[in-house]
Amino acid sequence: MSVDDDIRALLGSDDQREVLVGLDLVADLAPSGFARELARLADDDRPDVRLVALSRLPDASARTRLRDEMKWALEASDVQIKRAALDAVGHGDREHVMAVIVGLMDPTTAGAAAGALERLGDLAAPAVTSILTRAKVPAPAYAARIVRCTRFSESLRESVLAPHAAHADRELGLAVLQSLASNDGVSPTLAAILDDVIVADVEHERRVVATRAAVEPGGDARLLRALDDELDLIRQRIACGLLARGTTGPDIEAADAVDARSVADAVRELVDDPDNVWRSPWLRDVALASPGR
Amino acid sequence: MDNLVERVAALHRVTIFSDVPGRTLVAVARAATEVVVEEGTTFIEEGDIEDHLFVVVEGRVRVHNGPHPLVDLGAGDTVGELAALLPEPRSASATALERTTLLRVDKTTLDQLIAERPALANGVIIGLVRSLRARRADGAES
Repeated sequence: MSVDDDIRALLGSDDQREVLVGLDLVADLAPSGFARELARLADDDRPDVRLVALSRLPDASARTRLRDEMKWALEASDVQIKRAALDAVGHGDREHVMAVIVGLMDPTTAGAAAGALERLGDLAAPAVTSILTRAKVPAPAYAARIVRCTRFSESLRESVLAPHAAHADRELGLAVLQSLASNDGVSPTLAAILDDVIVADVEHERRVVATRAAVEPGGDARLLRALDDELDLIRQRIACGLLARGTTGPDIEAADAVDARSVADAVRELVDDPDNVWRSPWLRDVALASPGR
Repeated sequence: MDNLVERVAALHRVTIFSDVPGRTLVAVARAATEVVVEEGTTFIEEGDIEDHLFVVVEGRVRVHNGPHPLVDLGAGDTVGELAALLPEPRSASATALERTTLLRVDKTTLDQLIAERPALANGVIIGLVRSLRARRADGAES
């Protein structure tokens, strides 16, 4: 029995899961070799099978039918149908960008939506720009997820993401820096932005290390843990910033752990944050609950 | 335990959440429901189909099949984590051995966290394997 025969057996199965596996395999091979099976499944009673089969058919009439089906399937309450619709989103489906973004916010459809967002590529640029511009501190968790899942072309990646490399939410900024780090080159404009970001991050690293040193002697374990998490975040940012910048970053001196402040002063600065340098609601909450306050 | 910081600290004591930064666990802590059960209260019934796990914050609980004890758990342990990953009938019951404080974490919250941090899925698997091994070892000893 050949591989094609095995796939035909899967496509003809009564078990829906086997049919969907068969359709996945068809996508990896030449769909034209299974045109008859795909045409039959494109009229199947099961909406998710129908959607995936239509998306595998190359002809224009199938694309038109698929568009009609997608209109309701992307709004379906049945998660399996919605996932199949997201799986069927293709490279040029500009009209489905928002449905894909919404799908990415829902953990039950996030996997399929991530794949769809990747296929949409540059078409997602306006939506990503809008989300990054609106995001405050703390940014919604899905914002970083959207940045991580989008696959822009190299030139668009820089123009969309560079203005947000210094985003006030450091976790979202990290996602931006990670994405920028995958670019092969760096323009002078981006290089200047990244230099400022790296210098600010190194300054924040020093701040965290110094505060940790002030808090450590007999300090609150929860606050020390939160500061360690912040240190981990900031070091990831510095590493990604340098990677995005290339081999020649700005001059950086090693962080200095010496801090003559009292624990109370260090914690007060964290809580009050008069210069808006900490920008971490979580660190503030932990510092507020700290006995050293 | 109304304090958010306390809730996050309780979640950090759990193996599957131990490596997750506190700022990420804030969403879980906010979504979790605190449940206080008195001694002798069975809060998980074998055969029930549910989709949440419990984190033991304070106290002790016994996992059992009918009258047969399987394992005793305390602060930092989780109960019913399999159901939060794949809802199906509970394989065992759980009863408080003393007044116990629990945090209930629903599947939706756990799914959200895993979607944010795919690496957490690895931690969940490691946590489950450790937990299963420990329970098997406890079962073998008893």
